[in-house]
Amino acid sequence: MNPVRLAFTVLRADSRSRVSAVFVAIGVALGVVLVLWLLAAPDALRDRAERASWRGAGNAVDATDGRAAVVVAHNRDDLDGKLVERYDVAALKPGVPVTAGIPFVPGPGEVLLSPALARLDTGDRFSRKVIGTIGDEALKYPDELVAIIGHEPGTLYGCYRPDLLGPGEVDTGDGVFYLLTRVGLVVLVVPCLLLVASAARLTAARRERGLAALRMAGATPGQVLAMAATETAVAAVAGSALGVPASIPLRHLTARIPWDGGTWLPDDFTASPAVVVLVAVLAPVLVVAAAVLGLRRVVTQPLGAAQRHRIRGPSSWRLGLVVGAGVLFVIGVGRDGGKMTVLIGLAAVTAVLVLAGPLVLAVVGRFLIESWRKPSTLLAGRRLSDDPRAVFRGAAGIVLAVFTASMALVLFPSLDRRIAHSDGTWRDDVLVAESVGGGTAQIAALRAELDRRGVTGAVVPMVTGYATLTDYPRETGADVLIAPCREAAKVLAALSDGICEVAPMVYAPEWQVDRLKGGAKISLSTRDPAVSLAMPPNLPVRVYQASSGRSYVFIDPALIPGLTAAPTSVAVVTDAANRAAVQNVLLRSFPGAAVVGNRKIDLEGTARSEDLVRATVIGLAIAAALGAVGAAVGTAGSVIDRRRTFAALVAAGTPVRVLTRALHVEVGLPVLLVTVWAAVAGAAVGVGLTTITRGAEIVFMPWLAAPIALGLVVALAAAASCGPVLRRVTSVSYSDE
Amino acid sequence: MTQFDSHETHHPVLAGRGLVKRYGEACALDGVDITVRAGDVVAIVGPSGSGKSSLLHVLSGVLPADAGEVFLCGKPITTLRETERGLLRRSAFGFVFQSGLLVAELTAEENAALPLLLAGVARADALGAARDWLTRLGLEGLERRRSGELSGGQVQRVAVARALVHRPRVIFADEPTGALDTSTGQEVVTALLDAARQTGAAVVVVTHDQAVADRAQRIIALRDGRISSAVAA
Repeated sequence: MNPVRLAFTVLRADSRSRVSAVFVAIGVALGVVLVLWLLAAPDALRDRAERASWRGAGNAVDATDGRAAVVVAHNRDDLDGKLVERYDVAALKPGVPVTAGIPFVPGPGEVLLSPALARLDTGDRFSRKVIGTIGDEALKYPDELVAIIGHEPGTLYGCYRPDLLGPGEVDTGDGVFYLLTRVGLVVLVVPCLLLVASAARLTAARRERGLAALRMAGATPGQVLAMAATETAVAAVAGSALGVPASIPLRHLTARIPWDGGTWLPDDFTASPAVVVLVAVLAPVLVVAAAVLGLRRVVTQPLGAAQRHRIRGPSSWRLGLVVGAGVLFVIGVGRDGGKMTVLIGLAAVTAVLVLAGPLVLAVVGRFLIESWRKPSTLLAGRRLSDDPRAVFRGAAGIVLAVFTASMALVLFPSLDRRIAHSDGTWRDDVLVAESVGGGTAQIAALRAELDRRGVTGAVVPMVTGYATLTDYPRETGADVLIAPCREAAKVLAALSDGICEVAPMVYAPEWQVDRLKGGAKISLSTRDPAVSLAMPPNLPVRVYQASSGRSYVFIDPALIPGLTAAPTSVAVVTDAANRAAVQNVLLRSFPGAAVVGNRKIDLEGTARSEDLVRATVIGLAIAAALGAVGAAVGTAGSVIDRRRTFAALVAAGTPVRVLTRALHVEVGLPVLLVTVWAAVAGAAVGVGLTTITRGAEIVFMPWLAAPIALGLVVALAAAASCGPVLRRVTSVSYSDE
Repeated sequence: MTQFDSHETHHPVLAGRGLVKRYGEACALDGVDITVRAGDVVAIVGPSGSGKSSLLHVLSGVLPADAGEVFLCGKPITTLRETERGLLRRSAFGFVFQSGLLVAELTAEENAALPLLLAGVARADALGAARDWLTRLGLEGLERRRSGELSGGQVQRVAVARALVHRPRVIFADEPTGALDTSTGQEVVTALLDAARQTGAAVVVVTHDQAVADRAQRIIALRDGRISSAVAA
């Protein structure tokens, strides 16, 4: 008989082969959906970046360049707890080229708002005539809050650009999102592959025997392989054909997941036709290739395939690798280790996690064999000890997901405080306009405007800069803030009124005191042109206790000879009632200046943290679902493979519940073990990475228990799948074949 | 031991009266009567589909009869619930199957000890009893081997040890030599019968193999679900 026809005959006649084929098809479909999704993610990111590319200053020109057509200042504003992308613009000539979605460059007194921002009550934030809306083509995401505010030429400090167009190509090949899609590709596709493998194994034992019998009956290797390939290909092609259309609804679902401030346009997550075709073809080809490779033994040794073969345990070189990686990692996180050492150690630890897992399982298995009291424990121990690699392989998807999630759930909260949120430099009730430019006249105007609005909080002009130490020119210098101590103490968290001396002084953290004795060269953060000043040596220095924020060196202006520079920053003390008004006044008084405050910094930080945690949870949830299904299918397969033995035990009077309990231990225990192993390893790597980040403190969140809970769920799902299959094993099934 | 214990020999230990078993329209047993005394060796023979395995399943309580009654030491078991019949099979009966059907992950001694372990007997006691039976069956030195490391005959002898380790009243053997060559089959049957004799257990063996049937004290031939002949060997 034609082997292909024979394969179809088997599928038609054998219900277990059909079940296996259905699971293979489901696994392939899920894999295709996820791969298409994850491969489309960078495209989505690129589409988003291209829509926003007009905002970049990559094509900036010099102010004197004849091509200069518009001045642009970008800042992040906040309105009612939402972040607003604010672009202050001043057209230098008519007909400035603009990107799609922007009708034109607004003139003085005019503003363009994105639709979502236009729907909000903006009060007098922009205080201009809204003359149009910004279309989706110029927005990162549909609900983005963007304002383009027109100004008189000459009143705005910003970069000079020939147009409001973006560059032709946008590079999105780095960044957190890109990294997450690549990690996700591995973390989610591996459980898919394991699901397919588990499904293919459902009837493996019987199929191996059947194919071996065919070989011994004279079938050529080619005929056997063709039959096996056809059987798998039918399911894999069906799965792939199912997966491509199934990815469309997922695309729309994905577009609703917020990232970096907002959701996506549905078309963002559309993979290119070439990628779709490639994935649709490659998925079944790989699955069939794996099935054919798995039959090597049947093809080369048909007699041996029907007999049980001894499985080699994990070799000792794994232990060497584990120890080596551990030592490297520990050295790396120690004081003398560099970041590169740690990263190499991290890579090594991650790589050997997979190699060391079976070793750990084998050791636990041997312990169980020595100490068992119940047959279930003995069976679990033997399963672990006999073929730890197979057990580990079965749970590899969940290992990967739990490892990554544990690492992320240690790393993100720990770095969160360091990177994302306000660093404690400014007092909470303070708003600071940075890079203000202008001079004392503008400060006076600001004070007058604030007085008019009844704002009584202090207004503190400051000059900031960077000091290069005269005696230590090659070492890190110091951030400098020039303002009278009593004034600065009103807005800076590190200073208090009580610390300020009557006489002009320098105030520095203890570790900076000796370094400042030789004097310094101070480069001021003024607008063009650059201004440098000399800080004389041996100035009187008083130590202050540095806060968690920037460790400024505070200098009284009286100590700097020739200081004539205009303030570079202006801080205003606000209260809850006048905060929004002060923010509006600052933005109008200093066009193009950035207005910052702890609340806005926290808002940005929280948004980023939420993105990362959301991505982790989504990835973990999908991996858990796939892992649970894969483990359940694998477990069902192992019960089906041994159904005659179980039936014999049932016939001999062993209650099904006793067998079920034994199987629960046999199945659940290894999954739990690998989960705990992966969680501990992931958390350890997370701690290591946190340690090398200066200033980051290790934070253990309750969420860290989530991966363990996930392993428990998968273990329970896998164990629970024994019951229904075992219940179908009747006491007379021992004679089935 | 159970309420069905009988210390008397040559009294009926197992009896079936008017046994009927149907699978849909097909009638596998059609009013079969059979009596097995303690220490008896009874062979059930017949062509495929004659009802041999169905009779073994009904007598052992693996399957309930549609009509008729099965008595163990004079007490009816047909009316028992599945859990009670399971307990009965575990304590009063032993089973030997065609290809051993050992648990591949376990060693010979662990397989032989399995009925005791599953019944809650302590590890040391269960393994001790299993080793004792393996020695009696000529498997000394092979206790730590897995089924994959044993020959077909050795596997069947481990299965015999597993069937006897809890000292059942009746051993049911379903084609115990079906997967073995003639001489190995004879060795296994000899081992089974010798061991059964030592414990006083009755043996009910379903077989196609005339050489095995010839070793029995009685041969019951089935055809179309009825006893066509019953002769003393």
